Amino acid sequence: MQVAARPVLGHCRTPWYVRGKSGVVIAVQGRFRDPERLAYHRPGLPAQALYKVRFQQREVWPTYRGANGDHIEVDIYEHWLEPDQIGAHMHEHDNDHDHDHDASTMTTPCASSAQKDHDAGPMGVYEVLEEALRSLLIEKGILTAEDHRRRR
Amino acid sequence: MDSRTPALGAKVVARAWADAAFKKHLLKDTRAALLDCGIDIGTIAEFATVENTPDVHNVIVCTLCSCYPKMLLGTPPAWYKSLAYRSRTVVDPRGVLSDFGLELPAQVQVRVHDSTADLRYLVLPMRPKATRGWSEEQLAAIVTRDCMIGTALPKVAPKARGARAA
Repeated sequence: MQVAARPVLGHCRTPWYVRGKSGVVIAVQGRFRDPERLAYHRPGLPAQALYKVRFQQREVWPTYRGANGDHIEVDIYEHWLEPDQIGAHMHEHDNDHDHDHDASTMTTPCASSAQKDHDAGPMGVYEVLEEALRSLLIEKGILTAEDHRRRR
Repeated sequence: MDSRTPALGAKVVARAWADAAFKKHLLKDTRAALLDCGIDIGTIAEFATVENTPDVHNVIVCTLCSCYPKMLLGTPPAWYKSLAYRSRTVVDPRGVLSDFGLELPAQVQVRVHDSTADLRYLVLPMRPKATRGWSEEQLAAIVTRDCMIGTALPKVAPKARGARAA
């Protein structure tokens, strides 16, 4: 699989350094509410599957100084994963890793296509801005939550 | 309730070292295994245990904030929350481990876990050979917080070794 390389405004749990990188899904961690929506007081539903994705350090950091077999594992939500476009080059290495070779290789999607494919995908830029501004106004006491509910 | 010290984590590791069935359960389903021995980890996050072996050494980091298995390990050390640890552990884990005094041979695979989502990780270190016949209490005493983050290995003091062998 590949991790999407899309930019994000606002809260997001997909570290930038794995975006656009290819890795292997080694486990399904369960389903969890989408943190990108939860952070803005949305229910974050439907829950997203969370996958443990294993990346080779050399894939993530081309100048990595450690051993060839070193890995990094990151839990990635479903809407950030897409089929690997580049192919199965991840499997050319010959170290003694113990993951299943039938695990699917995926890469993360690129900006626009991912947005279109997921109705319940990440919030749009303006939606995030609106939420952030509203929270800020409430936090600073310029607007109360009650005012906001009345005007909605 | 979050614990304030890593004592609970050390107890869990010692139990896993002493009881193979518990260890198996802990690695497969950490929440259920802990519940079986009376530890309720709450609902804030899921837990997973990763096992160090002669071939794999695990290290935990949270690059996006400082997610930490507080329930088992207590309050995180200041360095765990530092930008230096959080950013360098993913890029140069062997360099970071070396700063902690831990040099791993190249054939040992270093596996970094970035716990940025809904799971918190506990490292199950390898049981030192010199601890044969030890009680769970004795074992727990050598399981430090850093061992369970992956920045150290359990150590048996030469004195303790002699005393227990006698």
